[in-house]
Amino acid sequence: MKKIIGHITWGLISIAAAFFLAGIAIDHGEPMNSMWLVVAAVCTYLVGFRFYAKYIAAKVMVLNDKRATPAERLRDGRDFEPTNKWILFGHHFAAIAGPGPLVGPTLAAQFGYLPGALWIIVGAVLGGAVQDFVILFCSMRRDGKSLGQMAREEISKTGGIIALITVLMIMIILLAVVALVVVNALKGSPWGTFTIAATMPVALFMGVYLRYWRPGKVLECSVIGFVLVIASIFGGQAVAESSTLAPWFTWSAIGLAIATIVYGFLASVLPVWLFLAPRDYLSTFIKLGVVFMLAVGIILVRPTLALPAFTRFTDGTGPIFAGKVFPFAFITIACGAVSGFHSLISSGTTPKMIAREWNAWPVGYGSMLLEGFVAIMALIAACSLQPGVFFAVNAPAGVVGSTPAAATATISGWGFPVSPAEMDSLASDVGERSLYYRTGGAPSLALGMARIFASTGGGRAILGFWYHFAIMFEALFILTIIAAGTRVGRFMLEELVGPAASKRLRLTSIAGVMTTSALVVLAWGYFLYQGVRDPLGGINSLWPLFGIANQLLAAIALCVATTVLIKMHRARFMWITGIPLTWLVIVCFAAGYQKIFSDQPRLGFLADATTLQNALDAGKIVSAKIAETQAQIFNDRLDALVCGVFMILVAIILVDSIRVWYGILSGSKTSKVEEAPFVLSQLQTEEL
Amino acid sequence: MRALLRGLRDLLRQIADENAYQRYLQIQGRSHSGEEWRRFCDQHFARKYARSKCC
Repeated sequence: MKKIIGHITWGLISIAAAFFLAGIAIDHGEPMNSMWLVVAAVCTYLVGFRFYAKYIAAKVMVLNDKRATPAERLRDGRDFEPTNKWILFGHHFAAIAGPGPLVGPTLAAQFGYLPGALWIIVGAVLGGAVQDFVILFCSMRRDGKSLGQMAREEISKTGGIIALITVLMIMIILLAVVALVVVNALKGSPWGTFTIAATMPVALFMGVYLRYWRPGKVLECSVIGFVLVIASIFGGQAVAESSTLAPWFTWSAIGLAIATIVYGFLASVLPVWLFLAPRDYLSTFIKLGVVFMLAVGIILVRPTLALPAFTRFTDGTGPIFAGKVFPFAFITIACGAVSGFHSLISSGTTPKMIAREWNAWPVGYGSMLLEGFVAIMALIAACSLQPGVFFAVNAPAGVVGSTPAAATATISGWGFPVSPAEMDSLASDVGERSLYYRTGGAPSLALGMARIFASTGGGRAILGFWYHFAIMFEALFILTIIAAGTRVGRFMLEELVGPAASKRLRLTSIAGVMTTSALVVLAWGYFLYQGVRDPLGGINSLWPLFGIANQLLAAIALCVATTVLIKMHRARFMWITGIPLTWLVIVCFAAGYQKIFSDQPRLGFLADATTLQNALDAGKIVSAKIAETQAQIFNDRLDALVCGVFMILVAIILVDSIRVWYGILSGSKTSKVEEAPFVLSQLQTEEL
Repeated sequence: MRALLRGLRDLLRQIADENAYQRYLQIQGRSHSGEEWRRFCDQHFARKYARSKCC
């Protein structure tokens, strides 16, 4: 009887998934309610988790709870520790969820809600969650080895080095692009700038509190930190309303970029306990809390999607970033659908904490589905804004015009009516002087979130608080990523030069730490500065570069996963990783090729460089702008080079992998599985 | 409901590294003190922040 009820329930969920997926794809002739997206995503994810992931777990990986995991065999109470699966699920989710699933879907909303929604739903089930799950499995069976180590052992030594270089390069682009998101959200905003500036002394206070006053009381300290951060939002409002204090906290984008670069350097050289760790605790708790609040808010408010299923910008003329819906929707939304960065987490801490092999199913696959759901919520928040407002906030002055009247006229001319009065009223409601040209996605997401939160109670009166709460939430964890990423970049540099050279160059001495930190900061700081100076808003060039890089890292992870499957004599299942791999290679190489070689200056880096060079040669650039134009030409060529290097590196690893696959499948190469030997598990249930 | 709240509390303790600290004390056979917490932090953070954070 129980079995029949189970069959009926799953049958109904499957029918609902199909019905709501079809529902969001059909033109209803009227704005769609967001619950269609929510139900379509939840039901599809449930079906994917219950059937597809379980099939992979049972038939392909043949997970076995009798096999002791590294957490049990190598248990040391530090890195290796069997952990309850739901605690590990939350821990892993907190580790994989960053700004990507929030910002990417917001930017991709320029195509309308449908391309992003379908990619997030289908991409997560067939691509992202599969990658995370299979890499977690591979690492778990190899004593928690990292992606780089597995690439070196399973493919070739070259594969390992390429993985390391790619990760370092992605890190640099990632830090630059997320820093740009924060800078664009805070420029000209005394309220936001004060709030974020105030989180710095709050973190220092928390560090000292935790180290000397109440050692070990992390939760207590985080509650105090949260109260202080909320107080800083109210303080920011007072600052913004003060004619004396407001100018102190009204910064230009360039000023904020320099401040962020200095912050990144200091945060990476200061003792971790003093700044980074307390900030990390606080931002993780706030992140989880806000994700939960947003889910509850969307279910309570059920906002209508004001953006259509498709906009006219699917043809590649979008104001936020250039490029057609294919391939650019699929690289703009990386995290939330497929994110290569997750493979670093799935081969980092998590495989060392899995108590039983079957726990990898909810932890590896399920966590990614939850991230997909976060991306759907971000998409809903962005699409619930009036399209005219959405584009006025996200489009750069270089595209829509440098005055409010010009910008609103351009956007209204596209069929998305908006007026300067409407924008002024909205800016006043959220306590800002202006909301134009705030490229990067964070402000429009914050507006969408603020409206949802305010609709649950309080209305327009507290819209300003919720807007700045959302900005604080985004900036807090982005700045934590910048601090942590700069430190990790330093370690990667040390790893790249090797232990012997690292010792010779004294990289771990104070001077060495300062030098390597400065190198990493300068690397991402340069791209940040370039983004801030870009008349097209910076996001147009940097976000696609980041998306391509992240998806190419996913391609490397899927190469490793496919190689492992073939070596495990599961070649008949290689389509499971082969399909997302093929898709990502097509998408990334198509996007990368267009970003380098397209003849449209807004899209192709080289075409833009040529156009600017021609204008320079023809004397069409005024003398005051010559240096800036020369810098822009250099930046275009640098971006083209970076994009090209990413593609070449991944092409090498792909060819290397195919060589290994062909060798094994044709019998000319032996298939040696690098798995740890089977040991019978002795773990008792009550130990978890 | 009680199980859910217990699970939530355990998750928060996990993220706050309080579980890791308890294990550390158990392995070292020591009891909590400011000095122990600082020693634990120095070791734990060195490993924790050598890994990349996700985007």
